[in-house]
Amino acid sequence: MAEKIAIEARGLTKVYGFRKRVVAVENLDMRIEKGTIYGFIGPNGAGKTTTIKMLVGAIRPTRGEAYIFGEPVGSVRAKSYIGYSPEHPNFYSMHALDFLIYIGTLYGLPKDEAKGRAEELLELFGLENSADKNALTFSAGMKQKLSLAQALIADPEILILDEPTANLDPIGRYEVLKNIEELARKEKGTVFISSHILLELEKIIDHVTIIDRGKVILQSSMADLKRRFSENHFVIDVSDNRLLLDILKKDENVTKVWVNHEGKIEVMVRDGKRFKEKALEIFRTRRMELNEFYPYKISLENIFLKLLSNKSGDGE
Amino acid sequence: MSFSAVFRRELENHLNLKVLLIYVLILLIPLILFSNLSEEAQMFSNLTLDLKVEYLTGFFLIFAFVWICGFALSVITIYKCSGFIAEEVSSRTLLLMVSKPIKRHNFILAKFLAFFIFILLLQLLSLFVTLYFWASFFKLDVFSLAKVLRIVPPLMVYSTFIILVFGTLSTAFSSIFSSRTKAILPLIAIVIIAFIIFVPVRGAARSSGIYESYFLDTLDIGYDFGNIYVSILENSGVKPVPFIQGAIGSFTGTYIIPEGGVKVDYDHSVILESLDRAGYHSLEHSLLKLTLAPMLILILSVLIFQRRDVH
Repeated sequence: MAEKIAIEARGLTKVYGFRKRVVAVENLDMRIEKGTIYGFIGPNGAGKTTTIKMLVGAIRPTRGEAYIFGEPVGSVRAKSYIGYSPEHPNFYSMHALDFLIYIGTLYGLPKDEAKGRAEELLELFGLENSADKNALTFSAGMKQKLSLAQALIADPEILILDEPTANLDPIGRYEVLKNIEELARKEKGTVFISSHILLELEKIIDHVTIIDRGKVILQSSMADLKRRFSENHFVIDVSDNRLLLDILKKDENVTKVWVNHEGKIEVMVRDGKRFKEKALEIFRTRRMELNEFYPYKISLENIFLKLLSNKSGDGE
Repeated sequence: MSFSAVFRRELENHLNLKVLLIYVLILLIPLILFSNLSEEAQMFSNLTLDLKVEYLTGFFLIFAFVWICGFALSVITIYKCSGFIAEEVSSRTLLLMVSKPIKRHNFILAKFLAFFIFILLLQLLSLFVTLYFWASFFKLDVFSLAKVLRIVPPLMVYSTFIILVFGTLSTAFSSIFSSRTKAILPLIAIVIIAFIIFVPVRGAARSSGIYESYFLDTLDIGYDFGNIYVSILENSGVKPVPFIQGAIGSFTGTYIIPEGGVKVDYDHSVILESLDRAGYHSLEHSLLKLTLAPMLILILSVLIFQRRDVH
């Protein structure tokens, strides 16, 4: 397996229904390099889970194609690269340890090896004391952790996680995401993760795709994304913010300027580079004492909201 | 590897003591009750050892067709096989399973094979235990018991046929329907019609002549099961006495019962000649009829299941 592209989708489309057709995913293109932690976000009903189910072979695409390390999705070889944790995990009426061993043997692990690995994972997720308890009696959080453990049992090349932190408390969320990141970095594995909790997600992902109503509205590396959304947006705090606000309001390069909840000035401009030069000149000529002047650190959540509000604005 | 993992797990599930006990009770209870309650049981005490063997074998063949290799076996097979996929759907575990590196048809096949081996072993055990129980009840010696046990191999062949027919159909229905009830109901209806309802209907229809004139023989799959059953027995050298043939004939329609019934002289011997076979269909016809349709339905259902979206 010398493929550098872990997941590739070309024109992936899923349409449900015959008479009343519902387009769940439309023309999705994606190329995810090996070793990437890839965020897949979108509002409810955007098509995230449908896309994930197509990648793991549970749903057949209506059109388009997708590959896992060059193997068509749904094939046994493609599935052998994947560890998948569904949004709502369900288990057999089995002890947690036995369940993990069973899943391990499905990937071809010898029973002893599967047992060793299962015990390791139960410990990693803090479930070692529940190893001999029936998985059906687990709380939602424990089920989520067990689901992640089964996804990791065979050390898969690709982890596909659908809302892996949905049922966890903040500490659980932090621990799970930390574990995922550590495992991914250590094993140079690829993680494809969908989540609603963007604040935590943005700490670990390298790339992101945002979809809405089945269509991709943005694909980018996190670094590029933040640069793109931050380069023309600045935060300024000077000795006379009121005067500066009046000056900036008259500047043609400025598209929007306001005082934020901290009393600092936020300004959005057309040309960031030209604005920086102009701002420094204003501070100097107006003898303003400079406290802070930095590009706005935009969060993934803000980008997400901004994109969605722009999109709904476009549509109106 | 994935195939054997599913196979092993399913076999372990079947070998669960509680489940095993339920199966054994379903298979054995009516036979045990029969041996205690039947009037014929009292009659045995006056017969010679050879006649005891003949009659014990004969009665067992009737009960085997109706219950142990018939109704009970087919209902257990239908119940278990109809849950292969439907149960995974209702417990919402199918999504996880189809994401694992195993072909969907192998997943079903592994489950079916595990059940097939389990139920065959259980059937063998049930036949031995029941026959032993009956033989002990009628005070047969070891040599006579050995004579009775010669019916076990053909009964196992017939049981294999029943498991394959109903297992195939219920596995197929399980992969098409998401609900176990939907998968079970049509098949239980077929079993009830074939093994229960058609017994009196066949008799009445034949005597009034409408059985042949309205081609009811083509619908009467109970007859086809009986035809296969009797053919397997006869090809294995098991030929019941006419009195038993008459009784088998009344359940299966495979023998022509003379007017006034089969006469038996208990003091001297049974009637020597065999009853004539009804011969509505050849063995090949019955085999083809009962295997072709389930196989086609299974192939179709596997194709549907391969393409099915799992949520």
